Amino acid sequence: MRKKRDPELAKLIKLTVCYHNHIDEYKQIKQKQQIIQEVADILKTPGNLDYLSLLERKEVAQTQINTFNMKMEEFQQQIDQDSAQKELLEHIIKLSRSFGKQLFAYIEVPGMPKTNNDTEQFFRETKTQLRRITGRQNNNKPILFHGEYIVHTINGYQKRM
Amino acid sequence: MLIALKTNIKKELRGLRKTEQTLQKRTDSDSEILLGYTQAIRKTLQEDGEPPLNGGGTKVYEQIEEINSRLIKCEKKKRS
Repeated sequence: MRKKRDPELAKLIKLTVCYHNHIDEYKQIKQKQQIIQEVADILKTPGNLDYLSLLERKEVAQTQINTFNMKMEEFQQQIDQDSAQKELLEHIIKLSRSFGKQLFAYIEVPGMPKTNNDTEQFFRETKTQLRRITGRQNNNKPILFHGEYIVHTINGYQKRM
Repeated sequence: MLIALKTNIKKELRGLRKTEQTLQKRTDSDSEILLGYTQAIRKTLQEDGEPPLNGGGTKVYEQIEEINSRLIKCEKKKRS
């Protein structure tokens, strides 16, 4: 004989079955995530760069730029074929056009910070260092006087120490 | 277009408290198990992610899907 159905269990099943209504949204988000993941994989740092010479670094940066450009071409083809994610792909291409070449500058130039956040921290270190050297609270004037070179000079000096 | 998956799922899961209260009044062993499930649903709704690669909405969706499949399994076992 079949047992009676538990009313609370039935209610819980009825409540949780709501995810069915959002399958389309879920699939759309997953597709977008996949595209972003593809771009993020390309932007990853290719291994340890510390032991590479300047020439080797340039080669690595060039291959990274080439793979990035290939991906952008692939996206452009998808836009031409009226992909469902046309909006996102167009946005990525628009962004990459403006700063695509500089994305891998950190590979070519040793000691250059990778992200914007790292750059700001790098700059703060320089200011702290200058404050110690000069004893002044505000060091904007010397930085403006010496220009961008002072950042690299102090950074190089710190590395040598 | 912005998709608020987590918010939309949350909206549809309202009414959980009433089921929880009726389960708390019961004294059988099944109610304890079902209470565990309600707590699991509550915990799922608090889930947070790190957009864009690991969003909270997709996490909530997957977990609710899992809970639903397990509840259906429970029902099948109970009725057979």
